[in-house]
Order: sequence, then C-alpha cells, then structure tokens
Amino acid sequence: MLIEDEESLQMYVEESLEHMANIENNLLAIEQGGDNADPEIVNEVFRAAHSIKGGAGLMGLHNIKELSHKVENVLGMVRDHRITPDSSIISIVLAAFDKLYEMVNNIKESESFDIAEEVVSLTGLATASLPASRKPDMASMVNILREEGGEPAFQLARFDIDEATKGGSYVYLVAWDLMMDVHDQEHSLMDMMRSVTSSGDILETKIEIESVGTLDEATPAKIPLLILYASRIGQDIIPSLFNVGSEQVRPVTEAMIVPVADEGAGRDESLMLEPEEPEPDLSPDGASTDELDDSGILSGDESLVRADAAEADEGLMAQSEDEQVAAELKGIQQIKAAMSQKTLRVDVKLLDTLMVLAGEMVLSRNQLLQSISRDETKVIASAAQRINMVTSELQDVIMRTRMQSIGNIFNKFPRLVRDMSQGLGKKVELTLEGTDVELDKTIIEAISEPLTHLIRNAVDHGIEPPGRRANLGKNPIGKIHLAALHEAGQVSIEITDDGKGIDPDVIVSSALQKGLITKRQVGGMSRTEKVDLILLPGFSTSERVTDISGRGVGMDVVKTNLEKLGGTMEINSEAGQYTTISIKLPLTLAIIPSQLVAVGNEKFAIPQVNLDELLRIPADQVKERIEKVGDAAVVRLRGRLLPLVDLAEILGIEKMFVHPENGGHYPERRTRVADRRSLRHAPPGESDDEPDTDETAESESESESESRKIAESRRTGEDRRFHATSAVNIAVVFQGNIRYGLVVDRLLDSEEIVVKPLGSHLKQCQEFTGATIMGDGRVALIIDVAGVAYSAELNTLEISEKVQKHAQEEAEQGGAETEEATSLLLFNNGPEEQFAVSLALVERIESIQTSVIEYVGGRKVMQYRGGALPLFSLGEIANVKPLPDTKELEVIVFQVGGREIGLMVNPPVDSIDVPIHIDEKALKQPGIMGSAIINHQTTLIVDIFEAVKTLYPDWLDGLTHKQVITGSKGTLLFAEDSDFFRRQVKGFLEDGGYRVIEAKDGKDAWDLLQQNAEMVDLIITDIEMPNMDGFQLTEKIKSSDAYRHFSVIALTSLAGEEDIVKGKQVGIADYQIKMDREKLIDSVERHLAKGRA
Amino acid sequence: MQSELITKEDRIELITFYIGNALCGIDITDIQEINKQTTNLTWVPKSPTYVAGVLNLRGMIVTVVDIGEKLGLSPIQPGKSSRNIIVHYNEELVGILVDSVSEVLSSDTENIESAPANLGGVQGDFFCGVLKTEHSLIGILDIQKALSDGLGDA
Repeated sequence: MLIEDEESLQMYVEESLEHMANIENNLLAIEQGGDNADPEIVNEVFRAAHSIKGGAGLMGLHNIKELSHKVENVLGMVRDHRITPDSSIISIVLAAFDKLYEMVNNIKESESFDIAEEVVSLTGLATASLPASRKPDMASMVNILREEGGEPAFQLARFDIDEATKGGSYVYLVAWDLMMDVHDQEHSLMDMMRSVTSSGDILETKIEIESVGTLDEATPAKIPLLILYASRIGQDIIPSLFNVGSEQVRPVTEAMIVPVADEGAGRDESLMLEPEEPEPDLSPDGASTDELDDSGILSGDESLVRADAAEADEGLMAQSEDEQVAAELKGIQQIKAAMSQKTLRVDVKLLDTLMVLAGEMVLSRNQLLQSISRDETKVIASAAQRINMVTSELQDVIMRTRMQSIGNIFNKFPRLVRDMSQGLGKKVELTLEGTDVELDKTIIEAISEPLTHLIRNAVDHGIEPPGRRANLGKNPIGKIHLAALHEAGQVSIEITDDGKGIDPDVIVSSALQKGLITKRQVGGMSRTEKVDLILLPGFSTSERVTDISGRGVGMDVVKTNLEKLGGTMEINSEAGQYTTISIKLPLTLAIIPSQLVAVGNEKFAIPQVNLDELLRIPADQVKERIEKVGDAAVVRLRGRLLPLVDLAEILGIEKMFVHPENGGHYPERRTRVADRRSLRHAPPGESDDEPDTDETAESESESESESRKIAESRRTGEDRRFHATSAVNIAVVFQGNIRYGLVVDRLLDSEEIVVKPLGSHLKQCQEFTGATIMGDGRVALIIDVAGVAYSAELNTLEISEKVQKHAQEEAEQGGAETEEATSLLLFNNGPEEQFAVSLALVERIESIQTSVIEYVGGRKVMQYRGGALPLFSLGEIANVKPLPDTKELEVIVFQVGGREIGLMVNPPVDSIDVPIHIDEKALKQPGIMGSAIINHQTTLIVDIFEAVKTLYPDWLDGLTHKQVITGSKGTLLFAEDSDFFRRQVKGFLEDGGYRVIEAKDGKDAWDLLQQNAEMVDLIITDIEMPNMDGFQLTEKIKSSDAYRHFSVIALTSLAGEEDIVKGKQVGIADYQIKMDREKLIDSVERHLAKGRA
Repeated sequence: MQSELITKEDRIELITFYIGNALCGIDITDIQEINKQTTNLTWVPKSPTYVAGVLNLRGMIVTVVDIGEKLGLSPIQPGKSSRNIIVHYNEELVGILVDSVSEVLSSDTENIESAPANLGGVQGDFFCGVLKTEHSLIGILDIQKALSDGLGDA
C-alpha cells in the first residue's frame, strides 16, 4: 500500500463508506428509470465512484482504484445515455460495488482481493457500447513517459486518457514531495487531495521508490509522489494548486504517450514502430487515433474480453438456488459489517448538550464536595437533586447518541428483494416506510438478521410467481411493505406481503405429520394458535416447506432472536390474501424496566417484557388454587392451570421465611431442596384426603416446620403457617411459547436497570441473561425466563397436555355445579368502602407516588409513556368517601373510547374470580351499577363507561348514539340468565339504538326466536345458562334451515380459549366480554352489516 | 538504545501471593489492581464451584474466581489478609481470590525455568515458569491458562 498513514486511511474508509451508503437504492432507482433515470441520481452514483477512485489512487490502493475506475466508466456512459441501464448492467455494477464495499471494509487486505471477474464484466459493458472504432481503446494500454523520450512513468488505458481529456482538459504530470510539500507544511494528505480533486481528476499516482532515501538514513528527506492529473486548469495555475514549484509540473503531450511494447501475445511487432499521430490538445473525440490499425491490433484481445464478459453475465443471471442462498448470506454479512462499525457519527448538537451537562455535573459535584466538608445538609440535598436531574438527562442524551435510524437496515432490502426475486423469477415491489425511526445501535445490529429472514421468507414463500398471481386475479407484481413506527416507547416493525398467506389447516396437518402436536390438541386451538404453530421449533427445519405452508423456514429462530432482544412477534394472515408479521422492539437494551424479586437473601431482576402479572395467593387459598399434576405443581389462574417453577429450587438457594410472630428472617431448615419434594419422606399421618395435590410441605417433619411453602395451608388449623406470610408469591412470566409461574419468596419493586454482561466463566449459567448493579452497589442477576424453564425441564407441550387433560377431567367431574364466575378487580377507595370493577375492562395497574400527579386545566393527570394520562377518583363521580391523603396510590388504567383513563384508588388491589349476584337497586348511583357481597363485604360495582361519560362526555360521542331512537337500528334477541347482566347489557344495547328482546335462558330464547323470527336481526347469547346453554342454543339455530342465517354473538365473562374454540365449532360468529360495551356494539354493527350485505 | 530495549523485555516483574501455603506469582502487566473486596460478593447460582461470585467494580461486573479451588488446591478462606487480584483475562476483568499478597519481585527472565509437569499438586500447564529465589520456589501462573475452563468450553 502506498500510504500507511492510519488517520488518512481511516478517513478514506469512512468517506468511501458514506459514499456507498445509499448506492444500492440509487442503482435500483436507475434500473427502474432505465433511459429516463433521474440524472441527479446517476450523477450521485457517478460521483461516489469517482471519489472512491480519487482517494484510492492517492492512497495507492490499486485494486480499489481499478475497480472504481471501471465502474465510473460504465456510469459515465449511463450518464451520457450511451448505454441503457437495464437489469443486467445494474447487476454487474451492483456486484462491483459489493466488491468495493468489501475491499473498503477490509482496506488493509484490499490488494489481495480478486477483482478480475468484476473488471472483466465492466470492461465488457463499456466496450460493448462503444462505437466499433473506439472499442480497442478500452484495452489498449499506453505508457506515459516522464518526458518526451524519457522513462515510462505510468501505464494506463488509452481510453482513460481520452475520457479524462474530454471537454478540453489537460493532463499533467505532477511531482509532489510528500515530505516537503505535504508533511512539512502540516497539511493532511486527505485535505490536499480533496482540494486537488475538486478541480480535476487524479488518474494515477506512484511513489518513486528509487529516490526515497535508503534505510540507513534516519528519516528520508524526500518522498516523491508522481501524480497524473487531468484538469481544465491552465498550466500556469497548477503549481499553486498543488502548492509546488512550476518545475514540478509538466503537461503531458501526445509525444509522451506511447503504446505499451511488451504486452499482448500475438501482437504484431511491426505495428509498434508506427509513429503515434501527434495530438496537441488531446481532443476527446479520439478521431485522430488510427482506427484501422488499432482495431486490427487488438481484435483478438477484445473478443477474449467480450467472451469473458458474456460468461460472467450468464453466471450472474442464472443463479442457482445455492448461489441465491450464498448471495443472501453475503447480504446479511454485509449488513452486519455495515452495522458493527466501530465509529459512529453523532450530531454535534448532541455533543454540545453532553458538554453542557458534563459541566453541570462538575458544578454539582463541587457543590456536593464542599457542602459535605461543611456538613450542610440542606445544600447536600439540593446538590443531590441536581445530580439526580443531570444524570437522568445525561442518560437520555447519551442514549440518543447511540440511536441510529432503522433505514440503515431497511435500505439494504430493496437490493435483497431485487436479487432474490430475479433469481426466483418473481416480480416483487418493496415499499419502505418510517426509515427515519431511530433505535439503539445494538438493537439495529441484532435485528438485521431476523428481518432479513422475514423478508426472504416473504419473497420466497409469500409472494406467488407472476403467472399464478395473474390466474388468481391478483396484480402480477407482488407487494411487500416494510414499515417502522414509534409506538408508546417501543418501535413496531411490520412486514406485510400480499402473497398467498398462511392457511391454518395446512399448518395443522403439517404439524400433525411432524408429530409436534396431537390430534386432541388441535380441537382446542383457535385460528391464531394454529398459525402460531409455525413458530414451534422443529416445524420446518427439516425441509423447505414451500409447497406446504409457504412459510416457516426457521421461524422459531427468528422469534427467539427477537425475544432475546425483549421484542415480540405476531403473525396475522389470511390464506390467499396477505401475511403480516408485526414485531415490537424496545428502543434500547441497555436500560430495561424490570421487576425485582427476592429468594432467600438474593435479589433477582425479571425483565418486564417477560412478565405477565404478579400473583399473590393468600394462605387460605393455597389449598384450592395450587395443585399437582404429575410431578409438576400448577396454579389455577382464571380457570386455566399454569405450571409453577420454584426459583429457589431451580437455583439451589436456601429459602428464607419471615417468622410469623417475631417478624425475623430465618433460613428454611431444610437444606436440601430435593427433600422438600420427595414424597417418600412424608410421614404417613400427613397424607390426607387429596393425594393428588401433594405438595412440598408433606415431606417435612414437624421439627422442620418453620417454613412457608405451597401446601402449608392443608395443615391443621392451629398451624401458625396459616399466618398471612405463608402466602405464595408468583411472578407469571413468559417467553415464546413458554408461560409459567415463578415462585419467589418476596416480590419487590419494579425498577429500571442497566444491563451488564456476565463474564465468560458464567456462560454455563443459562438461568441468567446478565447482571445489574443495584442502588446499594451490590450486583443482582437478571433472570432468563427461557433458561429457567429449560432448567426446570418445563416442556410446554407436555405440560399443557397434562394440564389440559387435568382440567378436562375436572370439568367432567365438577361440571354442572360450577357456577359461572366473574373476574373482578377489588379495590378500596376510602378505608371501609370496597369496590369492584370487571377485570376484563382493565388495561393495567400502576403504582404511583401522589407527587407525580399534576393539576392541569382543572383536571388531574400524570405523565405516562410520553403522554398525559387523565386521572379521576370515584369521589368525583359518585357519592362516596373521598380518597384518603396518602403518598402512594394505585392507578387502574382503562381504555374507553380509544383513550386511556386512570382511576386512582387506595392500595391494595386484588383480583378474584367469584360468582356474583348484583343488586342493582339498593345502592345504585351515577358511576355505580350496583352492589354485591364479595368476601362478606358489601362491594360497589363501578360502571366505568358511565363514569367516563360523566367526566368526559365527548369521549363517548361516537359510541353512545344519543340521537338514535331506540330500536331504529335493529332488533336483537338477547339470552342471559343473570338478571344483572341482562339488564346491563340490554341497557347499553338500547343506548346504542337497538331494540332488545330478552330471554332468561337458551330455551326461552329458542321459543322467543320462533315467535319473533321476522323481527330479529341478530342473536346475542350468554354461554353458561340453565335449561339450554349458549352452545346448545347456537347448535339448534344453526341446524335449523329457517334460522341458520342468524349471526350469533356469544357473551362471556372472560372465557377460556377452549370455550371460544368450541363456540366457533358450533357456529358462534364472535365472542365478546360482557361488560365491554364498545367492542360488543362494534361487533353487533359489523355482523348486522354483514348480514345485510 | 537497543540494549535498553532488550533489558526491558528480559526482566519480569511479578506480584507474588499465597494460595494456602503455595507461593505463586503473576506477571504484573496482567494485573489491573488489587483490592480487599473478598467478601460480600454476589453468589451466582449454578456457577462452577470455583466461581466465588460477581462484584461491582466501578460499574463493571467482575467474575471472581477462587483460584485455590480452580487449581485444585484448598479453597481460599476469606479473612483479613485475603485479597482480590483483578487481572485482565481475554477481553474482560476477572478477580482472583488469594489468601494473601506477598511482594513485588523483579527478576531476569533468565532465572525463570520452565515449569515441571506438576508443581505442588497443581498441573504444570497452569504455570508459564518457575522462579527460584534464595528461600523459595515461585510458580508463575499463566493467567490465560489458569482461568480457562480447561475443557475447551470456556
């Protein structure tokens, strides 16, 4: 290499990469434009090649120079409309840029790259388009002599000289002394070069090795650099441009250009003797060249070159499948290489902000140090507060410096899609949206691979070949849309293709074939669940499933990779229509919200993205809610069974328990975890009437009984572990297909933590993804939810199989007597008043400090996820006691009319599943729909819609249809056994403008339907009803010719998935939750519209 | 000028320390610092037995290895004299628990002999050499080897 100056080299690399950043898309745009390609874009690409060439020449990077030069030639022809940039030409240029990119990225090895193939293809292109007379110039090499009759200094193609001198440029030989002219004048080589190339072209450079001093000398006095320079600038100005003496510049005359003598086999020796026609001004049209002779000389060479080019073309076009894959792999590697640059461009404004903040930090530190030495508590407090503020701001700004636009990845895809679709003979149009969305650098790096995979799937398996598309009546050009947008502190990416979609039934049969699921499981699956089967490991690794599902090459890997980043993936597809894959990602990985838990003396962090909910099972409910299925403990959660994993046992930690009487912390006495579970050690007297619910506690002897564990409550009544502290704390976590309850000793705060990697010695600890440093300086480990599940040998399918079986058996036994339970969220307002709201309506619950509440425009709001969340308390709408003045509150967040609203309540809140009988009369008032007795306490049931209607009447404008006359929109037959629900639902259906015929049960509904068949437009039914349930009713309707056309919407109080599937089987059109009025009305409208259409 | 260069390369400075009764040394250039954080480490469940835990070294998570246990000697007893030597290992920092730190020795590399197959019950592979002084024999630990898993899965 000519120049080993690291700094210049680095600068060159950065600049070149920048030039190439958008080259692919520009080239693709040129390809699309063909002859009408935007000249601005062509120029941009041309300039990029040109600058890369210029720098490379100066740095002595011959390979890069050579290749970029050839590219430049071809682009020059495109620019001058001498060739039409069709896809074969663009393919060659793209390949050349690929090579250039690779070389620039490995700049030190660039000289050892093999560029022959690209050079030949490009030369072939340029030659092919030339008029026959000029063709030989491409390959005919000439020597530029140092002076007339002197030694040759450079060797280059005649064509290059002609190109350079086009438009009246002169060619000069400039002798530059790197020591005197550059180094001693404290110029950087790159600076010099930039100024020189701004007014001309460097054609070639060369260091005069011979004249560099010998090694004996300490430092060489002279490093002469010979430059062949083409410019329109006159000879008198050149010296000052190069900052050299006029004796160092010599114009190149035609006499100094002589054909190369010792090259080209079979060349006619005698021709060399022919004198070169003098050409004083090196006019560009080349008319003076001896056409006949020249073409005669090189015809052999030329045809050789052309043949090679043709071969190369063919190779490119006829890519086999393997090559296709290889090309994709290369694409991924390139994206990766581009992503993992060691340097980063940062907005100067951000750096300025950082400086200001650093300054503030120093000031606060000084203040803090001073005040500490003087012991001024007040000043310390204010300094601490300032440091607190500055730190948060610093964190924010530093994070922003790490942000990169997702376009960095997105922009690679048009090329990928183009190359792939060409190889597959498909026509695909890729549209991009939201390329300016910014994400943390590490996430950008990590998602490139999964995204590439998904795009590849969409092209390969999603989009049909043009012929089939045409047959299907679709546009032969398939569309793939890739969109990114910011959404509530997350980035969501959507990949949609209008291809053949995913057929759930095909997926199911394929999964059955592969033995991934059993027939019985299929019965209990919803449509989404079926589609999600393609995410199962092993679904499609064995073969390409193009012919079966159209999707799923390693989709499980994609999903897992995304989840590792704290992201989620959802698939939505309509067979024959479209497939949409939605990905949600956090903005950064460095700082994540997490839930802290404690087991024994150890604290652990569970990432919030893996956390579903926290569960505390009071001691007196442990017996009924925690059971054993096979070897695994499970908890009953809203009608479903969830496997439990004891974190202490998995990690081998000594458990702690809080002594119920003195409040002290003691280790559990049983040191060996295994003992706790071994049934063999159970004293015979301990086993009681429920052998299948055996849990750990049996294994203890009485002497070890100072512990709190799952099954303690089954002990005798006097047992002190009935104390509240023996409740079981569970964090319900999930990752991918795995979902389980993690049993911990204590649930602590939720906190934003900084994720740090663990050292290499801890690689084997699959239970942890990393560590974080707590406020007290100690290290806490971050739980890997999937890793823990793996350690616990939780096999999702196996467990769920057992669990489902268990649930089924139970249902068969218990069947009739179970009363329909409603999921309610219980909370307090004043100390004595207990309230409840339907859990189905709750979005989430937040614990807040009252200090975060702001009063704006007469309303209470809190800042939340970048927006303002309106807050209200029950006191504002109903005649209840005011909220006590406390520091901490719980905020129950509801979504009403598409907006969120928070209800402030007094902690604690608790969820229960109970059958309720609501008295709608006794305690009815605005915002309160009635009362019920729950846990022996009178409980007021809150009507959120009415509450919102009172506070923000405009929110519900679109929903309540006040002006609509009742009954005008249609008549609904509504079957519901609970008086309360019947009246509630009827109320808001009537509000919505419908006439409602009430039925007390399925049988009643059937009778009423027969009487009023002409009037009824739609049937809404509860599922659980005496005499005839909703399923039976639907079955009856659907099997009768007269009534089959009625749509049936089922209402549930938070139904299990099995119910939904069963319902679909009998013909229920839609499921809605009883108290969710918006969705129900929406559903009714949709189905009515469908029925009328 | 040249002679100076050679001297530098031919001298080695060692931090010497005890693992039980065994006197060992580490090349000083491998060491980041020595501190007293030998207790109050965060234990990592399921970690190899020789990992004593992790600690927070100015915002970095450092794995602390009980070098006694790692080399198959007696585990280090944390006490007043025990120290944590933070060394550079591959791209990370690793803490090495030792029973006590002795002194800094400077010696010609000429005086260092190759390690025998077995040194005080420890596999010779873990040492890059042995330094004989008037009173004792110091095994010079090869940090990279001593801290690697030995089974190739480090």
